Amino acid sequence: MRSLLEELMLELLKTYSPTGNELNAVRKYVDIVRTTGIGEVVIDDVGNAVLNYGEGSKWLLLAGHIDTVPGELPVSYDGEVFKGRGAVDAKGPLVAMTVGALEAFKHLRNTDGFKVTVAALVGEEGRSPGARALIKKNIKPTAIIIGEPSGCDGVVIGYRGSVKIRIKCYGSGGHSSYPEGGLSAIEEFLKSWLRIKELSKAHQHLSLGVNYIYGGQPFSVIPKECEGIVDVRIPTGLDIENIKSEINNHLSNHCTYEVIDETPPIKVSVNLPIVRALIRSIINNNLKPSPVIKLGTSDMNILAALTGNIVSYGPGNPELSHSDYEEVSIEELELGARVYRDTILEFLRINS
Amino acid sequence: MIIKCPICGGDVEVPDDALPGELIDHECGITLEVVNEGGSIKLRPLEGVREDWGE
Repeated sequence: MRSLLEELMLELLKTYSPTGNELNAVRKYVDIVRTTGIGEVVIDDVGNAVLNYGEGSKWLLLAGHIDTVPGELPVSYDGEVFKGRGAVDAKGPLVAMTVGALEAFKHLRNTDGFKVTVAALVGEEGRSPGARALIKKNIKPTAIIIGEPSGCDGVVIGYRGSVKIRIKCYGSGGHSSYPEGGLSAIEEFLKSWLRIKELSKAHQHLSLGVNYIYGGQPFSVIPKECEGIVDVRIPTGLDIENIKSEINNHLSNHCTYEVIDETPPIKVSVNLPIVRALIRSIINNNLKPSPVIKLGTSDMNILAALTGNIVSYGPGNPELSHSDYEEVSIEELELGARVYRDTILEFLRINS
Repeated sequence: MIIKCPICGGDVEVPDDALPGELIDHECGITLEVVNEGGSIKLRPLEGVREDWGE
């Protein structure tokens, strides 16, 4: 198990794959997995790598992602710790789930009536084209495990939703030596934003941030246009439509808004068969399972449209995600791979 | 097996093969943890759900 973990992890880390530029990493993944001779691995029409094993009406999908946030980092492995972009989010979980699944396949026969798929999805750090392609295909897995870092004991049962809103504000123009004589689009944006920001005080666990702002020009002109993108994160239990409506009500009359991306929040029960299988597997690997709600958003929010029997799990310290200090140890990857392997076998046992 | 919920007193169905450390959401809204006390299976409220950021 260790040598395949090391080879796959190191090769994927060396193949920098920021969102939108995953093809070389996907090819590398396919080439290495093919050398095992287990299952069938292909690249689908949107560029996801997909490893299939077995046939049957009971179908477990393990969905990791192969893209990373931008920002290449030096890659190293000293025999204990891997460092590099994506070591935590989420090449580590992808490698562990792949090797864990390959180990599980050794215990299964193609005739067991189960199908297991491991998908290395593209674009998760962007608009999730890889996950959305699975939704379009309307596939019907019985259960899904998302591969995201949660620590070897963390069972992720929920993620907040997100809404990205483009706000455009309009001013009058005029000479900026006399600002009182006109209306500034930038000031209208800021007025709106300061009002919108207050919504986080009214709703627990709701967060709002400005990710981008552009407006005005470097001349003595009262700004005629200003545009910004607001990132809203929505906890379970809060209605997205209500929040959008409240944001609209807080806008200046000189501003408009447009939703450019929307993902609903998700929270699942620990009673679900796939969550129970994961928890039992963690216990059987001598760890105490710890349920986690994530403040971010992941492909779990999207893929829950395929089945509500879904959970997220993966080795690696989630606090290092997207940082310049991404690292994960071979021990964590081995433990994570064993947990994935045992979860697959436990889930198939529960459902047999 | 059926065990009483330590919070509401209602029945909780616990799988016969449940392991200490397994979790169960009860209909009263509480999440319970399976524990082994002196050789018998009991339930206690889970101490809390962790929160962390990340995608």
